[in-house]
Amino acid sequence: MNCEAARGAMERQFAGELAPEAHAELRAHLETCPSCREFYERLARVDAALERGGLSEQRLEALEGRLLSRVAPASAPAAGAPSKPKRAAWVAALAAVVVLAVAVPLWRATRDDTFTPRGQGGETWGVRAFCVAAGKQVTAEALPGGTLRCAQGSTVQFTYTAPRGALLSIALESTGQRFFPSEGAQAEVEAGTDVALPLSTPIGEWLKGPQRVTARFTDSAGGTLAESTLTLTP
Amino acid sequence: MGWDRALLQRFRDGDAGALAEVYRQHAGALTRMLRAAAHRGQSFAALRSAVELENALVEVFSRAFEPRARQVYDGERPFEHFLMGIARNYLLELGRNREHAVGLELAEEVDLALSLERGDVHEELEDREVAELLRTFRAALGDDEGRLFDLRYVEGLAQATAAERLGQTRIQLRRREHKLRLRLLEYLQVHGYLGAVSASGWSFVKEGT
Repeated sequence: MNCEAARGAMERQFAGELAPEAHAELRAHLETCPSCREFYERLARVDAALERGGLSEQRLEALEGRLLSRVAPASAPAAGAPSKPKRAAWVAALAAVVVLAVAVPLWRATRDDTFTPRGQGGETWGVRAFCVAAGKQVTAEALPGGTLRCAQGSTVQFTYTAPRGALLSIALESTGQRFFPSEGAQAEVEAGTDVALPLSTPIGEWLKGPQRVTARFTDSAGGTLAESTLTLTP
Repeated sequence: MGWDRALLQRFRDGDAGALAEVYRQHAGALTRMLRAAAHRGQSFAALRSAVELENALVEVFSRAFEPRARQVYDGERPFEHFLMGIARNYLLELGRNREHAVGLELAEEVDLALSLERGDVHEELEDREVAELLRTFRAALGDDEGRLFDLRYVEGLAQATAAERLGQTRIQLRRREHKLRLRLLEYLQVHGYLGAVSASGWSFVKEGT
């Protein structure tokens, strides 16, 4: 979703006619776009005034969809399924290199879209990596299986593609250090195409040579849905 | 008043319908409590942002719906208090993780406290601006639209109740409310409340090959 579409979605939401699927896309865009987020905040302030501190029925319905899609698998776990990792362990595993993102580009493939990440049953899963220079210009990108060259002083950012909601982790293969999520071993992501993740990681001393990065999509029972790897190099 | 025993049992069993019912019954109240706590500051201050507030709402219910939490809730004490306890823990975790993630130092914490104070003033001014815009918008409405506005946003009636009061179906009322909100949106734009926000964003088009 780009900013124009996001603006339209926010207006439709305010008017009470935004579909739940579009709401999920909008949320993903807001995580990465400060100006749209400000627009959202302003409309939400008006909504809050109208609803006397509450949320409009439209917003509550959209959040209900998000909530129930998240808890439904957990409320009826498969027999013998591994339990969810404890939160304390998640916190302890926080990757030190991860900082809150200041910018994540939304890259829409056009004529050269060779993005064919590996998955099951012909579904498209995977991550792309981008190198973003200090001026927020994207200097390079890598598809699954490719190599991203990214110099010190830049940041690396990711987008993912998933045909349905899943748990996602993106980590360095050698050390297990995570790019995503910032806490915990994995985090839920919603279905989407080229959805920008709200984190960026500065390239520092940790990247002295080529390093393989693995993105793993799993279901709530811990089963692997898809894996995608690429290489980072300074 | 305690929960109906059948609902409590279905809730404990993780029945999807029961979870949805519980959410619908308590989401509005929890939102108001979180917003009130956000204005009091401390760890809840992050919830002044609508995005953060909505994230928190989903996270708190999500934790309350985890199997262990469902077994712990007794159906007797107010569920909102149970949810607020979860919210408190979530926000403390969030605060700690963010400090860790950005390497927040003491001097930055002072800056943050000052910016929150400045934020209080800014928030209050913006709330006043919105209140004034809504007042003038309401004053310019005709009788029918004004009645709808009052029932929904002054008396705070749910759509179904407001529809009943107006002798309409809920669908008819939703259509009218949709038009009313579009008109409000236009009013906000014309009066510059939304116009100041740029929509340039981070849309990115790859250059070269």
